[in-house]
Amino acid sequence: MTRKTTKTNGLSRRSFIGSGATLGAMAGLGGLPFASSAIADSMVEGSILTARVYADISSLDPAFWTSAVDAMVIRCLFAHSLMYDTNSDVFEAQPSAMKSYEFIDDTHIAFELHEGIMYSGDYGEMTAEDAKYSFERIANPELNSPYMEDWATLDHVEVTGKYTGVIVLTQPFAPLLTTTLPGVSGVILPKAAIEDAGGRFSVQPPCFSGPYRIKDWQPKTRLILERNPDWTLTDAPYEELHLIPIEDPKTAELGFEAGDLDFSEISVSSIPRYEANLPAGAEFNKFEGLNYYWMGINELNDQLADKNVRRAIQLAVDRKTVVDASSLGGAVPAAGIIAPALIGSREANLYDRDVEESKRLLEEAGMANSLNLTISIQQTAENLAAAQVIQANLAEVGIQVTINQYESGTFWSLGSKDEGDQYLDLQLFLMRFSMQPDPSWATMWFTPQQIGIWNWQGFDNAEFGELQEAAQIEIDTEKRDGMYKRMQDLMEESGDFVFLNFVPVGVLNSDKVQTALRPDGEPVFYEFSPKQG
Amino acid sequence: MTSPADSPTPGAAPKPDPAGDRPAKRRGAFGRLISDPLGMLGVVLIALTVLAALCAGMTSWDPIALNPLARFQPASSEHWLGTDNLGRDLFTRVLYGARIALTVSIGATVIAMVIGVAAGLIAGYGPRWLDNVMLLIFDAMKSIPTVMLALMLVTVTGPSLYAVLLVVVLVNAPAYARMARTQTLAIRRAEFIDAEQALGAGQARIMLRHVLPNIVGPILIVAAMDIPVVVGIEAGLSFLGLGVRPPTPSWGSILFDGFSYIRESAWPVIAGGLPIVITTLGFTFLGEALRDTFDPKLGGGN
Repeated sequence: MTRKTTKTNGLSRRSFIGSGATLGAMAGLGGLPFASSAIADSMVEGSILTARVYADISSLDPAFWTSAVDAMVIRCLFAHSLMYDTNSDVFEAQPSAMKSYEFIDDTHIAFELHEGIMYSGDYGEMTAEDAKYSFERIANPELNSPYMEDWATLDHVEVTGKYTGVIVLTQPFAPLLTTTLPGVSGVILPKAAIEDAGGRFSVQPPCFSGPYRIKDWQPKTRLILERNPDWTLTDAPYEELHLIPIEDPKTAELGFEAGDLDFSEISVSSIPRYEANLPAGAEFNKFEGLNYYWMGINELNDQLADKNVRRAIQLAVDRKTVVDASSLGGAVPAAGIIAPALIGSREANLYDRDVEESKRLLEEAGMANSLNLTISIQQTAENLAAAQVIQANLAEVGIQVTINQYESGTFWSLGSKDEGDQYLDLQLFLMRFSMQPDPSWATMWFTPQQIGIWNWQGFDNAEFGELQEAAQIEIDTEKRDGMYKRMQDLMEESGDFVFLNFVPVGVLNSDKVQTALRPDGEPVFYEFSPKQG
Repeated sequence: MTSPADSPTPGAAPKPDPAGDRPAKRRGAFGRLISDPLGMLGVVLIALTVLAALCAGMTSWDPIALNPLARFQPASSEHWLGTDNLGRDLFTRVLYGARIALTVSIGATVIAMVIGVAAGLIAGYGPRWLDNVMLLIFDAMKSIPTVMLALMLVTVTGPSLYAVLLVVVLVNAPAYARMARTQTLAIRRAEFIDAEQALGAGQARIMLRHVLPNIVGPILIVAAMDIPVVVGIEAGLSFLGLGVRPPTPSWGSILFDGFSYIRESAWPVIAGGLPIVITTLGFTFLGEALRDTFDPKLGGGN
């Protein structure tokens, strides 16, 4: 089966109000699967789901999570305000801990929480006060959460009752319903628990409020989640979820075929093979992923400070061959960092391969046949293949490239200012970022404030920063679309980026498992269930 | 007076017989070596590897030229071992990989042996306190796991052929040093050494002219047995991305590509694995045959 995400087109305020009111009404009528009476026979005693995750957990604090794996686990452990519908081909937020929500106007959103959502550890029942604390906590500049932008225009949350409140914004905020409330920043935690944990926590949550809780964690080996007996909103079909961190997808594929895993995301380069030959007892799904893959060019490095040199590198890279070699034909070149499923997606790049022009620019910059660069990659077969094609492409224009391979921990520290001046030494690098279904998530990492954090290119463009802020509060879909396209033009114009591809997602699961996957293929483990019969 | 040949040291240097006898004895040792089927097989396998290294560059393919459209081709008359994920001819890459493997394994082993033997001689022949200090250093170096050491060095120097050489030297030199020290201690009080000292020979002369020839035999045997281990270390480091950098062909990096794409094609794994097996078996067989030939406890030697 191949599922394709379709364009969400950015929800307008009118559609927000419409969908919110409708969903709220449906929940009120008990028509939604998460009404408290919905605990059903799908809960199978003694059942265990063994799934591969690509990394170990590193932080489960909603204000400080770092990877998609953290987000997947947080989704199981804590009640979110809203959740994405896993039965839909488009990203549709539906009520979760919030029983209903309604836009009073552009900047006021009234909400009502479900009654009876309990926190473990004697932290009591979830109330509107907890929502106020949780949302305002992430927005608080003093906390310095990397996800502060998720609540960029939050003024405050007004508590109007035990379970009701109003989110008050200073300005309209487009990603509120697309990523903030259905995402990790929409998790509601009790103030007392966070304070007891010292203001923040890492991998040992002070309490749980979701369908599962942590039973056992062996770092780098496995994370075992067990049903949370206090959870009553939905089913938690499996008694235990065993999440096994396996960094290398090829290893995971072998593990799946050996019967050790019930679910695994596979490597992009394996997609064509599984599409052609599926192992017995397996099911395969392919999704047009939102995650994006590109080559960064660090303008802060002395050798790459000249824009002409960076442009020459852009023009020298044969993106089609790079993408084909790294994905074995599983992906196609991208025209930016915002996937076709979202608003702001571009149709074409500004600069395509032009070897002669590249050579001319290098000569003009006085760098003809004298440039020696490094390309830093995380050691995977795909990265290595891409890097070797880029190495060959650049050799054609007289640039010698040395490939530096790193294991993931070291790699992800290369562009960090916190590690000293090494971020200035970085030259070329291959990066892949995960993504949420709002274009602001693609661009937020490249603002001037992110230099030395996630903006490893040193891309410093004031217009880009202003557009990032403006696009977040722009409700008009068409205008917003234009803003994000302009932002990607600015990125490419700078010479700092070579956009490679969006990463298609292929997932394998046992035919004894009913999966629950978002439109981008990301698993919602707590909704997985054993197939009956 | 006792001649060096009277020393009970295993693999001791041959007795200073009349000049005419010596070549005959050498031929005899080699004859015994190749008359051992395993020894003969070892020599043949090593010769194959050396031949591969010498023939690199004689195929019509460029070992680093990419042709992704021709990826994962099976073995054929055009590509004897098929092609890899980037369409490169695997046979050509294997031949070039032989150069890296032999350079690292023989080069690093020789360097490690020279350094180790020199240090062992000094420790064994020097004063007691120096012996203790050097022994401590040898043991401390030996206690560092190879991969950890490689990671540390690569972090400092970056992955390269030189980093691999350095890792191997640092890993192996202490073993040679310990062995040389033990051998030196065993013969430093031998009568012929006392005699040399009585005749006024300097310490350097005694170590180089009298001690070294008596201890080098078994060390050479160990070195031959070490070479396959070093081939494995080089391949392992390159497999982990810590060895020679792409696109330079190395058996380890070919194996990494093969491992990553084993479901797409088995040829890269075969191409990366087979030469490692051939070379390690060759040097192992040769080492064992050398030991059998020269170790008097096994009936060999003179």
